[in-house]
Amino acid sequence: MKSLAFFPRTRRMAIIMHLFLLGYVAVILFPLSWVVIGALKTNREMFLDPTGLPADPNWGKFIEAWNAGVRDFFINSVVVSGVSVALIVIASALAAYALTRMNFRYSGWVYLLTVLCFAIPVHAVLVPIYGLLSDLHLLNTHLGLILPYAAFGLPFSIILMYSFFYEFPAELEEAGKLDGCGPWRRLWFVVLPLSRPVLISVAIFNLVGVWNEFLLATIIMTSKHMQTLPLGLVSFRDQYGTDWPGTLAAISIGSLPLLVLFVIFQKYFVRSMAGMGK
Amino acid sequence: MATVKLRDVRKAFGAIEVIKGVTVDIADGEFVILVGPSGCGKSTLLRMIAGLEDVTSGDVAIADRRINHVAPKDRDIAMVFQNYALYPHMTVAQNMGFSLKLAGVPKPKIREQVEHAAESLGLTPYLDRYPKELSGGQRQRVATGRAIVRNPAVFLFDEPLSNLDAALRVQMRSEIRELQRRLGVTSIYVTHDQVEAMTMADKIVVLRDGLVEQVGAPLELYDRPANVFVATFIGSPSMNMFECDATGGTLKLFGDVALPLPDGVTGEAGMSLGIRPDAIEVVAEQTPGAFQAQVTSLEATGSETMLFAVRDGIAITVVTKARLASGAGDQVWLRPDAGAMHLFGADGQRVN
Repeated sequence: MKSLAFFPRTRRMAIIMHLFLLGYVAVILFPLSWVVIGALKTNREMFLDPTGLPADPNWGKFIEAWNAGVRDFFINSVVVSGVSVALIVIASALAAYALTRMNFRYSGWVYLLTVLCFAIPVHAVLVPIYGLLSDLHLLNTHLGLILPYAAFGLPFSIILMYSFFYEFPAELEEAGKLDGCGPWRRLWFVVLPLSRPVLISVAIFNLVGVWNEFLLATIIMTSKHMQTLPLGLVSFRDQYGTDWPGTLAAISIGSLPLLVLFVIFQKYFVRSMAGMGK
Repeated sequence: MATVKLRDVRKAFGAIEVIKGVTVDIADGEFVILVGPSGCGKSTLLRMIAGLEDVTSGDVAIADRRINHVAPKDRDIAMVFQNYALYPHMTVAQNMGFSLKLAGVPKPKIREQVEHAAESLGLTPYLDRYPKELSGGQRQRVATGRAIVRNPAVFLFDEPLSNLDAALRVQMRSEIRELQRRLGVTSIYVTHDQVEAMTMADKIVVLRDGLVEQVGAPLELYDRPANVFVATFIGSPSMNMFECDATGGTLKLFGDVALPLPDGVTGEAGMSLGIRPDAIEVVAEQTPGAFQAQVTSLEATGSETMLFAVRDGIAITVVTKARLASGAGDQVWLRPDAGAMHLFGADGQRVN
């Protein structure tokens, strides 16, 4: 068993490890499957047998939930997350590359400042952010959420990319220099194509955070049609308080995109995270 | 095609000067090898010519154009790196054509030039492969191919063969040399391997501690090393060095052996006598000019025998075509060829 190669102990040890992991998987999977299966039940089944399987799976609830408002939340979430993650990836790659390659004055201090920003909790600056966005007339706009998301995502992303670029083989870039690349072309043709794992990690990591973000969204998106999924689902539940299968269907739809992305890119994600301790 | 001129080139990293004033002229089409022990600054010098390191002072000129501050890509050079530095995400063809692509050469033209270069290097079947799918020797060829595709004025090689096994190294040595002759492009090649330097170069530049020790054709360096360092560095096995006293008009070796001083040499104290291993004869009995030493080991390859001996704590190596009957521990008589002596003064410089 490949995953147990790190524990080349006895067979008994392997069995214990597997039992432990199975239990862990169960703890994670149970609520998730409960949500999906719940969406297929009737409201009556929900209350009579909360953990049982539906007698007649009803897929219609997904469509119903989608049309009852989940679509708008979904689109808002896609726009806000997509643009902010794109901004984070582009800006952090440029910043980290500049910090590792260009020895400009105070570049060490800039990096230190970046690391310090990582330590600022969002709660501490909620009020000024609100004031700022209000003055800029950005409340209840996509941009009003995209900008703070991008700003809060940057420090960690820059740190992650910095450590990756720092160890990037120098001779590949030197070969690039001789082949005729300036700094931009070196980044574009040589460094970035070989940085896929870290770019994807930064993207997924931020996407998870931004897709599920609640607090900032609550104070910035007060009008219902601008709400993102986490926010929308809360109001959805209030609105359809008695329709549990509908609510669960909405939650399922909301969690699906991240699951799919993670399954597709988990190879890169794990590889990049595993290298972080260096 | 171009000449390369270095004029009192210096390089300092902070307070530490690693290149301490190097002046070398390289003629058009010449194959020049920079050789020296590790840390002598040969790679740094090459990287300065490439533009990967700044020149602290002095001038670097290619084709009589001063290029100290010219970007690497505008120097009309191509470089083969020690670990090849092939782009892992590009195929062989893309690797080779990358510089042309950046230069805006039209695609069909790139293809034509890449295919032409690939053919001359036997890389045609591998054009669509990625570097990781190639053997060490093939990667080396791709790196060379990437350099020749651009048709540069100067080739730079930074220890390009050091990652290959011995047999392949010998083969690639002659391939590179043959290629260079065919293309006639001025080439500067860095190696720490003096055999590579001897077999490939038109001209060798021996460096030590950031200074040029000697410049010359391989056999010139072998036959007339300018100082003790070059004498012991060039040639394998290395030259035997003996301290000798020449104050009495003759060369006194080990206190008892007297050899005639070469013409025109005034004896002084603390001189060194260098004799190549093949210029020492093993003689059966005491003859004039012969000295006795104890055999430590013998290595017979059939065509020749290498004899290692010791006298007064000084190791002596002898290479002879003769089959020797002696074994380890035996005493032998060794007679240096008086006509093949290299004599160095107390300052280490050649005097004869």
